[in-house]
Amino acid sequence: MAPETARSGDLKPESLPVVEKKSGPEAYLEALQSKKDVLDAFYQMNAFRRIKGVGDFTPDDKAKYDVLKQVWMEKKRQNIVIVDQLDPVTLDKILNFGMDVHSVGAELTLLKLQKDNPVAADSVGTIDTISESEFEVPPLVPPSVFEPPIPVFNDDGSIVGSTPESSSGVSVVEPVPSVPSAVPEVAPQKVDSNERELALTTERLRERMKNEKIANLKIELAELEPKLNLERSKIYGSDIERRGQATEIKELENRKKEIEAEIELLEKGALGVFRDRVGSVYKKTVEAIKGDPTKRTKWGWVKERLKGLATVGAWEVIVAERVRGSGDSGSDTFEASKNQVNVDRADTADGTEDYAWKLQREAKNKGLTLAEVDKKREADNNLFIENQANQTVEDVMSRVKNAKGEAGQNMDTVENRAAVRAAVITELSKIREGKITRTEGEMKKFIRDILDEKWSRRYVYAAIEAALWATGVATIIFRPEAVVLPNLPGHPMLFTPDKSPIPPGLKNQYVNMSNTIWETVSHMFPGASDAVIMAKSKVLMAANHIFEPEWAAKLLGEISSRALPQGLLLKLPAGFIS
Amino acid sequence: MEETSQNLLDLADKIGVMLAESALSDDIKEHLAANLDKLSEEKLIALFDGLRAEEEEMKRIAFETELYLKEQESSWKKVEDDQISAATIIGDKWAEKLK
Repeated sequence: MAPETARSGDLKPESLPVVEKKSGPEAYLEALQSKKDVLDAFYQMNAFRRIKGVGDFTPDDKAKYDVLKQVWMEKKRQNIVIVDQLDPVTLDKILNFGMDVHSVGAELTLLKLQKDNPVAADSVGTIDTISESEFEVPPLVPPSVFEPPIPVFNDDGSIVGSTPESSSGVSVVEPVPSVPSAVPEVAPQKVDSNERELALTTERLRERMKNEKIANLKIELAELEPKLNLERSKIYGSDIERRGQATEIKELENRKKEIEAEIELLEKGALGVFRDRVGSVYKKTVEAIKGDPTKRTKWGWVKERLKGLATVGAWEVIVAERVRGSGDSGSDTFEASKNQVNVDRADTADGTEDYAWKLQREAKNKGLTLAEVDKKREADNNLFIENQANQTVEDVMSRVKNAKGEAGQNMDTVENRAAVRAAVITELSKIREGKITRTEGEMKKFIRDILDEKWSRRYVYAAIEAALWATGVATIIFRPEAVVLPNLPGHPMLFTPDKSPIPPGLKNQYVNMSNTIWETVSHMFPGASDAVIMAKSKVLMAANHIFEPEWAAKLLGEISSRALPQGLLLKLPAGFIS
Repeated sequence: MEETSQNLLDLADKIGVMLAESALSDDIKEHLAANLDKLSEEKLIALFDGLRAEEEEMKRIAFETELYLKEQESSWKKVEDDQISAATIIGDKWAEKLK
């Protein structure tokens, strides 16, 4: 990942050594292996955790769990170093695997197979990063061997035996034949032409059959409605008849639902239905959560408990989101961004830690945070001390009376009672204070451990968002203006001042990167406060789908904003300059 | 509906629920839900992967938070034991002193 000289997550200028990006099959293989290792370690750690619940976790289990966690964190560190050196194309491929360890494993196996045994592996269907010069090319079979298959159609017009292209970007694994397979690389033009024609015919046929099917279904639906209404309107005298009626109605209703679903599927396509379903279930669940005040979101309690203590977690992400979403307008946002700046500018872990503790003290939390849990325990212990002191006083006086009889009565004075009580309270309070001090340390360690090595700038709750950005979901969802970029030559990450100056007429829409995002923005707004620069930086990064590294800290591959080339063209969001 | 289609709908249900329960801010979630039609099949799967990644991470954090609380509980219990011992010693001393 970032060079050691650069502080993680800092947007401010740092000395930026030029890192030569790695590409090619070896780099891809190395990154895949690393990703596999880190995913394996992650799932092993989680599998171990699931064996027992928290209640049954012994100190020995905890020690073992900690070892597994350390292994995972180390693998992750190594992975970050590796992916940070990848060229954008290779990086993209790695990121596209997401958290799917099986897909990564399959790709790795195929690659290794190809590398070790290029002839057999060629028929497996491999990735395109393996160039011919790197690995041996298998012998070709004469073109006459290849003949386009004669299609057989299903009811819906699809070709029997055809499979949709894999959507996850994972190679489809075919059985490895014992002899080299036929590869139709020669005389491709005729074949291509035949295939295109066939595809068009298939498409037309499919469309026609689909429309016919929809029409038939609609007719059936139209006929079914009156039947259903008629059945519902019937009034029967006996129970048997009424039961029969209910069964009939149920069957008609089920059929109606089936037809409607089938029509929807045909009209919208599987993807349309899929999207609609996601949207409707999302809304329903949100309503269910809203409708029941006692039911918070699934992770609400974790967030509540960590809030205050882990302020740089949830809170900062929300803060950053506000900044990103609304620019620098509004006093709340300004305050928020100021806080963000303070966190990001903390020079040392201790500085940030102190800041986090300060925030914790100031935080007005709604739920019972970890800190409040301990405050409650402290209060409980105060009561405990009081009780102990009272008990000890009674115990001492009782023992003195037993030993001295009547004379002992004289010793039971208000002064003596107060002295015993004070002695107990003082000593027991010392023990309590010692515990509180230890608790602070334990809490700090806990927070560090739970939130990995970059705890000081933890965007824990942004893990999902980082994934959205890295996989391109967020680019589509959040930044529709980014569609301007593809009109320019190449990917924005590849722009350099020499090759890609700001296109004429777009001077107000782009700016060339100057070392860092922070420095770029500073140049654009001379004299602006750190808070403003920070807020602007966030907006600029968001508009260019660039992540400050810690946004992607939980991701297994990330694009570092500090690894971007000098002169990179950055798209300016609307209203950025004004 | 065919089994495959049902599986897809189950997946859609899962994504919908996971998105609603996600720790993402409501703004982001609303934005996502309102723009689902812009996502290709690949990106929907990526969204699912992202949500699963979040779930795994949140489960880990939830577990470790609970574990921490449990450890603190036994730690405070030990404090109380130490305090009882200390109170006993102080009581013994005062009893001797006043006898």
